Amino acid sequence: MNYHNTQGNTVRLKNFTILYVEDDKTTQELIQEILSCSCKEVFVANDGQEGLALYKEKSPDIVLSDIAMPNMNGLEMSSAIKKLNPNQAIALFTAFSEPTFLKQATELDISTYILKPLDEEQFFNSLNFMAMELEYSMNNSEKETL
Amino acid sequence: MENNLNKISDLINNQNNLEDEKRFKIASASLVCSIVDLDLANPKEYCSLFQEKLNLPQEEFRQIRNNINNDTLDMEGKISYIKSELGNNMYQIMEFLKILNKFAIANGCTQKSYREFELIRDKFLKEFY
Repeated sequence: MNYHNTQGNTVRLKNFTILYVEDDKTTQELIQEILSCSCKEVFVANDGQEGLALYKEKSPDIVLSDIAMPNMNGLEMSSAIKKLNPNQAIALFTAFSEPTFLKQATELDISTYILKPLDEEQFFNSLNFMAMELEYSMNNSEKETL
Repeated sequence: MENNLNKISDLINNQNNLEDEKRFKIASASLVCSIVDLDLANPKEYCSLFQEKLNLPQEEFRQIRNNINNDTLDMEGKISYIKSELGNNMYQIMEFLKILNKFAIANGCTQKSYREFELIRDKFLKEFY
């Protein structure tokens, strides 16, 4: 599979920073490479614990995470992040094979999922959708402060 | 603002025209039916979602569901119709997609239903990406 973005539809993402949390090194390197070309800045963590620490330090616009990871899994990390910022945009990688995880994720108000195996176009479309939602809420809060 | 837009009558432009609202509800419910296998879903949860998000009481939805196959519009036609009713406004369309997303990730969601949601979402937004 070609993981290099050829869609030319990632301009919107250039305005946003992403925290990417993944314990599998091979996947991490691939996704980091394609995200680095498309986003303002990418912060990478190896598990939920590192991810949470990096989140507190960097306050990224979007969090993108695997679910099953050592130390702290993606859901535990998402739950901790949502406590810090209930409006944080979070997307989780999933194969929809574990309904319990999915139920917990929806309870955390996580509405974006990146389906495994990864489809590059769908991946960027999902990230773009999140970016559009962020632009929308930023515009709304600007209007409210005027 | 999001709460105000949750009701379908707030999403369509011509809020006074009941016929428009009905057509909009039929097209929307039909898209939901293509995302979720309602025979396998949790009926209680979906009934309350239809009521809350699409302003569709159980009996009205039942009637619509029974007539979905008689609808002359195909998927592209329904999407085009809904977009037009939403004034082709990107943010209105996103609000509508958030409603569809609620159905896609409700209890009983499968990879197939989420994938279908993504396909519909991307058809709605292709010119905005």
